[in-house]
Amino acid sequence: MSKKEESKSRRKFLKTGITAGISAAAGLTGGGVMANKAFAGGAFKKVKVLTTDGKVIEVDEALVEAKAAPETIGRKASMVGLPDRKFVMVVDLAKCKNARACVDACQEGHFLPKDHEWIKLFYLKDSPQTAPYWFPRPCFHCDNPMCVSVCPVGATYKRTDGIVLVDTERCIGCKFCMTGCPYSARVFHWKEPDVEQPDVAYSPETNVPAKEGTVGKCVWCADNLRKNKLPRCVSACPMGVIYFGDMVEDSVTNGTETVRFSQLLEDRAGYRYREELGTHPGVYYLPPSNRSFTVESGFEGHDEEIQKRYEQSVNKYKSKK
Amino acid sequence: MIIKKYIIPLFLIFSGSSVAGQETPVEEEPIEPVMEMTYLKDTEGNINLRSSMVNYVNRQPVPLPGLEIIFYAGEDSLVSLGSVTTDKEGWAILVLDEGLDLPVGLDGSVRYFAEYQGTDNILSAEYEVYVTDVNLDMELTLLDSVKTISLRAYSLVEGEEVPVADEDIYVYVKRMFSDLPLGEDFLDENGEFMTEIPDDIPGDAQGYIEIIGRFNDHYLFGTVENRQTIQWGMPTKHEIPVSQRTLWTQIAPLWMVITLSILLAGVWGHYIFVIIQLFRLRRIARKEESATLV
Amino acid sequence: MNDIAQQDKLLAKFKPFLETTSTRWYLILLVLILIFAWGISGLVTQITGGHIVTGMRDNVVWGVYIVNFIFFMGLSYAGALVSGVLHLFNSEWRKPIIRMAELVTVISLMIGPFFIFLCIGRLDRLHYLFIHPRIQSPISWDVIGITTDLIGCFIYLYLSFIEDFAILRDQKSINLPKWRQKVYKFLALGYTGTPKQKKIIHKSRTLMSAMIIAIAIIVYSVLAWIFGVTLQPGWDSTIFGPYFVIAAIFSGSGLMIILMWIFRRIYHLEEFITKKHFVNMGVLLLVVAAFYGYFTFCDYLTKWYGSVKINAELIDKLFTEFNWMFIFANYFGIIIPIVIVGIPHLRTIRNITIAAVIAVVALWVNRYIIVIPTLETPFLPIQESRADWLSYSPTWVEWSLTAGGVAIFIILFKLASKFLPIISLSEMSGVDHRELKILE
Repeated sequence: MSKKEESKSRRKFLKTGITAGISAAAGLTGGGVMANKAFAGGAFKKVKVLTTDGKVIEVDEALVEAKAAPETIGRKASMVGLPDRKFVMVVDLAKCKNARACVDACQEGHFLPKDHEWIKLFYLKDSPQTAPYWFPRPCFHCDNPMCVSVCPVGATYKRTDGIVLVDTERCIGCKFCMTGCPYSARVFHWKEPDVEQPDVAYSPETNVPAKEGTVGKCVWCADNLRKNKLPRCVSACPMGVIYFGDMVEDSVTNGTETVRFSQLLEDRAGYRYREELGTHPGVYYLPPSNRSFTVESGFEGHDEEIQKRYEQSVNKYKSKK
Repeated sequence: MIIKKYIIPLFLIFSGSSVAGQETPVEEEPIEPVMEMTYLKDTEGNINLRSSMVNYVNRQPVPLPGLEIIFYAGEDSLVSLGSVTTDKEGWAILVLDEGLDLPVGLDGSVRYFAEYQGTDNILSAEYEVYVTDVNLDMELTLLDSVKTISLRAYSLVEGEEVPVADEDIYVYVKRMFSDLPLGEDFLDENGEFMTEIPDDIPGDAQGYIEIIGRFNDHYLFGTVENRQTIQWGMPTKHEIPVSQRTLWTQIAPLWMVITLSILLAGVWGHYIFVIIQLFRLRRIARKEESATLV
Repeated sequence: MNDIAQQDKLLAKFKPFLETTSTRWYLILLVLILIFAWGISGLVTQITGGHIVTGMRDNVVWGVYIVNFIFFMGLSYAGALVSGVLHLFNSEWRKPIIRMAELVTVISLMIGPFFIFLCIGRLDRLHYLFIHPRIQSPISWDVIGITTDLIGCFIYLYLSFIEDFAILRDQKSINLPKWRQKVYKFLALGYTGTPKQKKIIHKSRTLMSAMIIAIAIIVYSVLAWIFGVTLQPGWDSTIFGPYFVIAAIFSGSGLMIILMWIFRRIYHLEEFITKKHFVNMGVLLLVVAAFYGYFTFCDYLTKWYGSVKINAELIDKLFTEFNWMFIFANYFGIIIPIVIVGIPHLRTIRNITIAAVIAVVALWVNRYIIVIPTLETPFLPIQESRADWLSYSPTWVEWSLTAGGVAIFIILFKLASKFLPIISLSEMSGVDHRELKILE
């Protein structure tokens, strides 16, 4: 990432923070609810708490609130969608140059092992004469989800707000959903996850802590959405490739820019990947037109292992030309 | 907002460092935090100072929680405004009390100053912004059944309202994750701006939408906004009936349940019949046995 | 031939096998148990180490295990067909081989599902299939279907055993331990062969044979639909239900011929299992092979001719990477049995058996190239995981468990043939039940 991009992403970080904070100040919900209120004159509010060894100490009120464990969304609660919402994602292929910030943010945010990626980046070329492009693929959260249809134990389900979740405490690991999904969006925990899992109560909205022998996939950061926060891949992307929003509100945002969803699709000829399969994906793509960078730049700056992944496809596309 | 950036990584010279260095052979580099602060004046006229503390790891911002940020106002003689500890997102938000007497500079602006004093592990940081106080009024009216937003910005100079002219102003409608822009223009010489909003903005179930007029990160005024909720949107509703029967719902399609039931009943009925036959076989054998005995 | 004389003759034939056990029998058993133990060690490795020890990865999520699963399930069809259909049509020549067919059905039906269990990541949650079923899932259909099929086959097998149990209980020529006599007595349910009892048995068997045929067709179609209902290229085919059923009969009749050959040699049953049986089963194999070849051709022709991009990619893969497998499974595996059985001159017992072996092995390979190439041809190219995860090759764990499955199949067969004559005594000696009916 160049210096310019760094300042850009910092800018973005600040900006998303502002909007979150604003809604908090307006008395709405939000990440900044515990707006650490203090009072002029330097005296901020202190509260008395009992420590584990029986001493009464005085601490900042805000700290206590922050430490209070957030309510865990269990299986039942996770099956109900956020009321009157229908989430949608728009991926602007014209901006994606395989920076892989979405992948990193996702891996880190969900404590995923190295070989267990929820969002993946494909190097695609549709036909011999067309130009190759980078194709980020999260879970499509289809409206006719094949993976949910074929699950024999109800471990995966679709909620009213469109999100498809996996309950890894119910999942028996039969992998039928993985063959059911035509987009290879699901991945399996082939071994005990080699990333240290945080000591938190399990929630199907995060799939943390991960369990060996179960299936995982992108959850559109359902835990973030509950806090009116964007999915991690959306806020992480330095290019603003991924837009996310609510179809009911007809608005999507990539963290810096907010546009009307219907307008965006109309202006940029949005489409869904493999519409003919009839799965009705919840992710839309904007064609890779007028790109300001070369597609090859996406190969740069990654580990050798990452570059190797694309070798086979690169050779294949070249030979067809 | 005039920004004089002082992201000065003050290299702390502390007397005990050499001693500490001997005790721990690997001396870790202290964290070099980056502080930023923004100013927001909300609908009620409350001033919010929001400061963020992040650390850049591999060029990615990592929030620094639990740091005490002290806020001041003033140029030479600082007025302490309060101190706030950063939350887990690295934010420390201070809401100023109303009617505070803030030291105003010669150009009419107030200097706000945030400081983190630093520890052994985290270097100190500070940030300042200069903000001129303005007020933003917003009126929502139906003019010939056109939904019209009128914005007026003014500053108070010795009790007199002075219009703010030729400044960039924005209108938004609040959405779930962010604010959707509806219009942007320069204020006229009376500090006013008028625009209409489209009819097809989706609202909540009753059609309420929250409209926002805002100076957005303005170089003089910071962020100043006015929010109002009004029933000007399209009522929306989205739900999937719980009773829906498809392949992917919890309950199966009816035909599937019926077919499976018939099949199973048919097959298992025959099984049971045959098992009964087997028991009959045994009974017959017993009967015959007793008959031959007699 | 007189009933009693025939019976005595058969009893005399099996006397040494039922009475005593040879060292060779034990030796073979030991070898099989060792193979099975190797399989168990593979299973332990898989359970403790996770599925990472197999060759399966995120694209090829089911490997050799599911191939074995459909293969064994297909074998179970042999019994359903031979015993069910032949019983219904009352063909005389079926009698010596009917017991084998039924045993194949039940034993492979018991082993098959274990291979699908091996595909399951959390065996500790297996019971969720019963306590949280979702009947929209073809796996649930399978769970219900296989359970029903297994129980039905057990009942059917038992029905055909009752008369034999009674004969074994009543006979005096073979010295059997007390406990075995008691077991036979209990299992015979006091059957003495009165017309009333005969009628009940006959009625039940006819009913069950019809049931078994219907269930077997349903279960094997359901198995095919596990693949057929998905959107994957090569699987998403309407022909899969009947195609799988035919393939199952193909492998089943092949296995029957192999077993006939083996038991004929071990027990010296040349008198009972004659060339006629081999030719008849061979003709059945030929007919089924023709159908099976026809279905295979239909399936690939339409895919190839239409050449939807993803199908074209699959076909391309089949004719490059999987070329020799494709040729063996779909050319040799079909043509050789047809040629051998089709030319009367070539119809020797040995040749027919060779044809059967080729058919059975080719069918296994055919299952392999149905499952693996499709999983290696997803809509989005495989490029998203690291290089050594890209293509599938089974590890020793999978092979050990496959060998273990075959071993336990033979072990169970050996044990069953120790407990009961491999040729049904009652069928061979009994008066035709239909004649009985007329007499009444």
